[in-house]
Amino acid sequence: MTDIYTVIQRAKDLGYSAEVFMAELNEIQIKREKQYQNMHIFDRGYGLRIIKDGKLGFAYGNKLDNLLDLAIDSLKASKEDKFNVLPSPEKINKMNLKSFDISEGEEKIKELINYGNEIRELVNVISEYYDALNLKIKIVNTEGIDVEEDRSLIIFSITYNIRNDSEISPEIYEYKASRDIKQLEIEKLKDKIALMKEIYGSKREKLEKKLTSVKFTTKALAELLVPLFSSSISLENYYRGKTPFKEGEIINPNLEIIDNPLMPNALYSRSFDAEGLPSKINILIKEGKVVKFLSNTYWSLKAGKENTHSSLRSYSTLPFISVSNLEVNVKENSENEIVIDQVQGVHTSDFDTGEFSVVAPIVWNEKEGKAYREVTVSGSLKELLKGIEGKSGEKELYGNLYSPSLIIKGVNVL
Amino acid sequence: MNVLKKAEELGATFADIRFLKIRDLVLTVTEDREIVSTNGIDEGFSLRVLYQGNWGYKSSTGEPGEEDVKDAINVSYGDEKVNIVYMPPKKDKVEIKPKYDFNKSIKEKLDDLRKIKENVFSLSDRIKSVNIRYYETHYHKEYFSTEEREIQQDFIISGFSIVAVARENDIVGSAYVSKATYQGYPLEVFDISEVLETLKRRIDGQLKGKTVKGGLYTAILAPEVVGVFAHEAIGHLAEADLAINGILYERRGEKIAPEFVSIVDSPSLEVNSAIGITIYDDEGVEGRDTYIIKNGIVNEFLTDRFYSAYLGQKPTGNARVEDFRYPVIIRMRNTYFTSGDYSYEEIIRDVKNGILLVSPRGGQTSPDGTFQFGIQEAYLIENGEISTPLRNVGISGYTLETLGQIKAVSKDFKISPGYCGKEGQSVPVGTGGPYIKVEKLKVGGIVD
Repeated sequence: MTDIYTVIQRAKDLGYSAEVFMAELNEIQIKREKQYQNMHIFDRGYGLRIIKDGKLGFAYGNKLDNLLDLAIDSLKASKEDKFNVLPSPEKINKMNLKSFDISEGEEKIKELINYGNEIRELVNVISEYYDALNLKIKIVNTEGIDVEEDRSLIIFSITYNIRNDSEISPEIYEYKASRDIKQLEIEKLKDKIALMKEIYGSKREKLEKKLTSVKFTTKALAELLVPLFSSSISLENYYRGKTPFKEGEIINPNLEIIDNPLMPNALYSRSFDAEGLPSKINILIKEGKVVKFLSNTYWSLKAGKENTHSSLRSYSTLPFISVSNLEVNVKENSENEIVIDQVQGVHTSDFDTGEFSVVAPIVWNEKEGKAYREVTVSGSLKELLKGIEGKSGEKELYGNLYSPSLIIKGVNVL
Repeated sequence: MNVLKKAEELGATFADIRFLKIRDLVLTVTEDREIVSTNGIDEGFSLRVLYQGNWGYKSSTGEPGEEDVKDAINVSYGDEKVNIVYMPPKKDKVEIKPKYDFNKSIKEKLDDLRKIKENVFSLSDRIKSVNIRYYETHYHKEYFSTEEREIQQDFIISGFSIVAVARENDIVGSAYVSKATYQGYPLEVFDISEVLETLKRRIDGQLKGKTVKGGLYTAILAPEVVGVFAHEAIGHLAEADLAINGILYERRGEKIAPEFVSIVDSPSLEVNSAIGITIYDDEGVEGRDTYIIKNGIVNEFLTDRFYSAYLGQKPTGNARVEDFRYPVIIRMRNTYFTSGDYSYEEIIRDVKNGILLVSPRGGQTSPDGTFQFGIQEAYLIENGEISTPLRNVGISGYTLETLGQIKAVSKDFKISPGYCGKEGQSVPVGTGGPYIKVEKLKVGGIVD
């Protein structure tokens, strides 16, 4: 059977620069609804990127055999582009990102299912999802990169609703993920669920007037801000005029946003990016000013900017630019009694302009303890960031966002 | 099939195995790049056992063996309540042959895309960037079960999308057109000049369009938007796994819409874009037309083997998966409103102050019956005439209220292609219908 090094050598002998990206996944997933759907998944695949005379070829498969021929077919059809270059090695400080083996993960899932059973006694649980995985990433190229990392991840999510005398609440979704099996912070979930039970114990009311300022929780920000910001802070999108941001533009003096792939235990923590380059902490918005766009080897060369080492990929795709974990810092404190905790429909936004019009199904008045129905939130990414008046509470990690709740004005909430 | 026999020997009451081989090609052409984004073969299997009343799956990119059967049994824990509908033995081979061949080389396909790119830039000097994505996915599926069902299916889904970003002074407009089909090389199946005209109209609308004041409007939903409404606002609520916690379940047999409203989910349609084609589903079950709403009445739900047994309903063939890495879940196929009696002109002419919603930017729904769509192409209707284009319109509402507010349905009928996401899995679907008039639809504008 062909191995990675043989493929690299064969490509090199034919005069190609070459890179193999391998991902090997071992995963246990339990999905509980009316029926349990339990899976043990083993998935191994390879992506081969080759370059010659500025032409790029790519192929992928679950076996290495014949990949080079397929990649050469791709290369022959591609357009010459001098920025198609494979990176050279740089020193990597390895993180410890594997905290458990899959068998330990399976045991942890069984423990979590008991926790899920306890939640079922509190509310009407629609679905539970448990996932433990081990992932091995290996990247080898002809320029000398040869890196490998084992990563683990455990995920627990639950979707539930609350019935009161007159109605059923919208579906409420909670989610926790950690690379470290001991750091999965699920203890606070019951408090949150108890709060939701209290708030949705009564019939929801209609918002009587348009609101000028509201509090977005970390969860709501993870759903709304993260996808829009991720697209807008890509150097590719900046170069191609597909972002509302301008370099050097002052968005909000109160604000700092950092991309931090070195955050321990977070969802997208990694020692190196998907081109095998060391992870960097990148300050993107500093003292309110847009100072940097995220890039990879191709786009940094093309745009003449720093390579922020921000490639992400699966074995079936070429590397693309992506945020890792976003950290949001806001100087001032503020408060607001209207809380938005969940939004839906963000994928219907215009990611090139940052404009959005979404539904916020989970909105309540903290002071009066009542929930609202039929709330829509519309505006743009820039308005959202410009409108940040202050933070509320401590920073929390939700998905790949590490942020406090934020008080925001300037978006339409009606 | 040895692994199925082994599963039975080890105590499984039912087992099935799906083999999938996907040959995938994705080409991308932008204002200055031409690349083969994906070119490869994804191949694997998913073995499923029903053991002591619980499901256990083993999915792998390797070859199936006895260890995989044991792995599947090892993860088959739960509450021992799984009961399914069993099917009679059957052997069948389905091959959907394309009407337009894919016999061009990768280079020739890239040449075709480059010509389209040049035509996009010739539409307007305000267009600054373009992304053309072409894909073809060749599916080879094999299904075997302990019931002695052996089903083989071969088909190709292909398509392309064009996204253009234009700038006029400080205004940025972004618009897209996407097409997909199961009938062959998409650049020949579809009329490219028509696609370019649509893109130009959408770009112009985005640059010149006005924002709409939020509020309740009489709305005419064009077939693309009707399709997303049928899919998002009703279809998802009729997927039995979601339906049992949603608003439709307790209304089975109840009238929730005027009698001229019917909504169907169909395994195949003789229409180019009906890419939800599912002759047999991923549980080896034959697909059938399923009337979710028939003459205004909640009729039946979309099911897999488990929910057919749970609801006591004849199987519909809606169990689908993205690939072998995922569990089988209930998905739509081609979901649409059936057509009515009115002409488009009749529907629009008595609207004094309304909105024509032509093309969606996507949508979402919740089992409590709320829905939300983004709209990329919309116009004001004033005194029965289409007037100003609108930009970045969002609509939302309650499905039951909206269904009750349908006042007319046109004769026209069109299906559009799409990809539906659910629980992390994406599958091709068709959505569509005629023009529909809805009173009091909530429109959320960008600026109030």
